[in-house]
Amino acid sequence: MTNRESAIEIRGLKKSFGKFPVLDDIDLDIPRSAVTCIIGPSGSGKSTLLRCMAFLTDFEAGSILIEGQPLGFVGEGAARRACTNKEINAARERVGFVFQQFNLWPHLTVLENVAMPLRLVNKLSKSEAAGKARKALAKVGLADHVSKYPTFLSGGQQQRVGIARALAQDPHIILFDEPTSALDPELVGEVLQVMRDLAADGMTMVVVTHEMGFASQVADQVVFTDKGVIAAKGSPAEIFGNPDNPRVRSFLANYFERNTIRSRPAGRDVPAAAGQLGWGMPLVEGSGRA
Amino acid sequence: MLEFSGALNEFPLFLQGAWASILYAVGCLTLGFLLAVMICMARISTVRIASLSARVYINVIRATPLLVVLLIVFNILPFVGVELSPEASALLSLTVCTAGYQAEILRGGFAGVSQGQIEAGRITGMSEWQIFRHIKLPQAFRLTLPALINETTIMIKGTSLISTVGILELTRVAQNVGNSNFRPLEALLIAAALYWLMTTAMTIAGDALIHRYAREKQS
Repeated sequence: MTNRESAIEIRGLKKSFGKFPVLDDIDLDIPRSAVTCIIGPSGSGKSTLLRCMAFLTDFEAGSILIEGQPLGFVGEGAARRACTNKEINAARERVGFVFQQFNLWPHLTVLENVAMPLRLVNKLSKSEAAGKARKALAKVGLADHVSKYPTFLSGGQQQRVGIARALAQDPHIILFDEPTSALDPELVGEVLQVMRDLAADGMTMVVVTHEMGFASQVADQVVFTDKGVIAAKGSPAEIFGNPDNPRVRSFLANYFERNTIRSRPAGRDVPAAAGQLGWGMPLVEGSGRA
Repeated sequence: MLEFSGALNEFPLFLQGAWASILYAVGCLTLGFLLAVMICMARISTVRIASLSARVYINVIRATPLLVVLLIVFNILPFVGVELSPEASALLSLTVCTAGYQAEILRGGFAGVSQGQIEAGRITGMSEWQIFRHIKLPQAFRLTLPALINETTIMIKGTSLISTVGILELTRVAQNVGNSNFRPLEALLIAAALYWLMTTAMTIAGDALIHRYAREKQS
């Protein structure tokens, strides 16, 4: 029954916050050694979907298999029961997670942030854990920062520590929850570059992102969620090229509108007084907005 | 005029008394911290009966003077069949008192550890105990360290109350010496100076620890 090609298999996934359905009967396969990007408007359920794949959020119905291993719940209908902690960790072992807010442990050095789980969970000796952590940190370009504390790093560096922490445990799959959304624009590139390198190495990745450029260039599969359902799914060319789904169209039109740089025609400068008062936002000629 | 020579002749007794005070303070603060962590866990747990019991405990302890707790443990427990030595009674009373305060101090510290950090621990496969021991507790300790140091200085001085149940610690030594040489003021001044030394040493050590932890943070 298990699809051998799928790293993650989601069937009939349902989740609601109170009466409000966040995920409504989701079926999704995450292919091995490929990058799946999940895009969509805020509140469409994309982060919740990703968190379910790590069982950081539980769900009311449906099943998730991580490489054939049930995550969260086993059985169907009346026989459905919550997994034991042991079963959850057996499935989670294959999964790394990178958080939007990094979630590093501020009382530990960069090295200890990566090495502690290796010692406590993977039962490596102190020196083995440190060696492995150094290797993971070198991979994300932070070999020179191992003894610093997280607050002394830039946001981009902190997120790369987050990636190293996930990477060090040799996961088969890494889930990224808006990994660049909390970063200053000029720091986004360094994180995306590390992710590109991982993709090139054949890591199975699921990325919730607002970085359409990254999604279009790196993804093998793009999933568009809207109002708790998967509204569209396909290759980047299918989703970004000429989508037939009207919701995808308007979402992308809105995105490109916000991210297009146009020069302001000469001679239409805002009056100085208005600029000083701070309410003279220059209007862009031909922006299409009233 | 003050005349210290009589009291100073007994200085070794004062040092023995101070040493006893230190032992009681260290003992009650350490045991109290362990008890406080458990009470605090109960206080913030979602199990209602645990949370409620912890609340009642903290409330009762904070409303009862240490001296009253001490006299209850010393005088009333034997009536219900619990026979404790004066030393054990003293340590028990000091411990249950400071635990109530420390639990309430720590609660604020645990609240300061973000849910995201806990999720990061879970996803790496850490057990709830490991998350508690290696993520929550060290940070709660750092966040509440100034208040905890304050509590230690209060308890160092609080040990003087156990002199009332006959424990030979610094205050009791001072009273004994003062009574025997009819110079109580000088004896008490020497005791006060020694308490000052102990609390100041504690504050300096605490500040050093705060300073060390401050290097983990960019201001």
